[in-house]
Amino acid sequence: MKALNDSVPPKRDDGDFEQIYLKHFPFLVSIAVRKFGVPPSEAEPLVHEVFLSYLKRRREIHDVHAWLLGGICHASRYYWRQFGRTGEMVEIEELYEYAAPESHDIRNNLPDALTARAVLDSLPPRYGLILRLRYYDGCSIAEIAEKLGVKPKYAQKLVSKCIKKAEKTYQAKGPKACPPADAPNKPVSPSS
Amino acid sequence: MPSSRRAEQARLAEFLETAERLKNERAAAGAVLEVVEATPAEAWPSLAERPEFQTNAALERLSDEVRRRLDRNPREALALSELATATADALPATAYPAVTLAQIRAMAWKDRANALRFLGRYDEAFDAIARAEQVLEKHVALGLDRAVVDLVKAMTLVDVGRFHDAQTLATTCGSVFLAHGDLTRALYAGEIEAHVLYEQRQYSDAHTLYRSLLEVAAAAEDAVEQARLHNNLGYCLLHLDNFSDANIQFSNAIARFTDLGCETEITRTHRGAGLLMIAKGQVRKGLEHLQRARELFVGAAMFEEATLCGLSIVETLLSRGDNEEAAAVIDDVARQFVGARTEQRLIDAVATLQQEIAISETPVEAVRNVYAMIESTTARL
Repeated sequence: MKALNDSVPPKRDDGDFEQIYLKHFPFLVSIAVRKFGVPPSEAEPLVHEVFLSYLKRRREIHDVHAWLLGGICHASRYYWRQFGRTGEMVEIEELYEYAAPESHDIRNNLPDALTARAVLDSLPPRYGLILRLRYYDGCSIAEIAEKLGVKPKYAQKLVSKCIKKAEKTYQAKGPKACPPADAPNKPVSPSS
Repeated sequence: MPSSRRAEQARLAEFLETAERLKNERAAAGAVLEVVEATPAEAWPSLAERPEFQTNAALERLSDEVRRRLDRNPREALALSELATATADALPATAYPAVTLAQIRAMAWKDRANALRFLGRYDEAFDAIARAEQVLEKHVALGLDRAVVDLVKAMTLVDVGRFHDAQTLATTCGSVFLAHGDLTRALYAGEIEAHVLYEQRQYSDAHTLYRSLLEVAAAAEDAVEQARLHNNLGYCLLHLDNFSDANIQFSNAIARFTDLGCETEITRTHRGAGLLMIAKGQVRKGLEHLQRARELFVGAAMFEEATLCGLSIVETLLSRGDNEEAAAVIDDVARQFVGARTEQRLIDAVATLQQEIAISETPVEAVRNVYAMIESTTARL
């Protein structure tokens, strides 16, 4: 039997790096955010790392778009696996740092950020994503609509619906139902 | 300017700067292998100190060279991979973005693991794989690099007989390669799965999988893989007692290796096919393959390997009572071996065998003893 080695001969070179980066970056971020529920603040550095890894592999890549797409899908899954291990999805300090001004009410109305996180985590992934976009990433309704690929009017409806759902969940569980501060917090892994 | 915009611009600048740097380094790394060639192997570790070796491009060249030497001279491949890991590990943390640096180091350790695997030093190979995994672990985006390391790990697991683990890993990393559009490595992963089936004596299933992989290799226009798959199909067919189709597959493999100029592969195909055919009772055809392999080894001045082929022929002839022809072959083998630059004790052993075949009551045993002696020496070289 012929033994394998893992060498792959060089195949094709690609040209304009800036164009490749600018052309694919927003699309890859939207895949990480919308398909896999990676927080936008994490998705951008993640996509950037995929681009950097592409540079070393570019000699063996046939189809840049397919390669980058495969890269971000795999990276997003691995991202969730890693956070699954550490039990941290979004750092508390980070939540405050990136919270939009209009999110203060939400934060103040809830007992503390941990409870907010627990409530968000108990929501279906899409609900959690919408609330994070609106209240932690400071996205406008128009930006949320663009990221979700829906009309702004519908995006507004979705945000309202998500708030209601979050309030309902919070009232149903109550502060006692929330995990203690040092308990590992398991994010819901997005489906692929 | 908002901070998010500044971050975007900084990322783009880092990407473009890294792209430019890697490109320039690749253009300037041409002389690295010439320096390696001009340096005695025992002095290779000192090359890690030289600035021209301390770039990604230089390490890529070394990596290509490690793979090129794996088959022909795995000890040299290992020495080069040790140079590569020493150089990669010594690169300062600021030399490249952290992701790129992790890729550089992990691939160097992966190559080292592969060289150790070729030398049968499996514990050290697994240690090297663990180093590569450790380097990659913190980088979420390096899924393909992790899969490449997993591929070598799966091959090593096959070599140590951990077939189930190998199959699981090959399936997982195969899907990563496919997701990245990396058909060649996906093919390699598929071959590991087929190899596991072969090792588990599921020859029909292995044959089916190899066939489908052959179609993929043809679609990908990967001539080397096609040749290798024809060869492996030949092995499966021999075990399925389909000798005529097996011969066709071996012929296809040899024809493709010939087109590609892969002399060593042609010889190995003849030798492997010959040995297995004889074991399956296809003695005449098997002897033809072995004789051809022997001639090719002599042509390449690989006298130990040529002698091993000759001894296999002698053993087969003796087993079927053809002592006269066996004696003629051993005379020829001994004559060729005298000219070889090898250990005198091996030459003496073959010379003694000439007499033993004529007088010994168990000449086959005598042939096997000399075969084992030469084989163990060849493995050490």
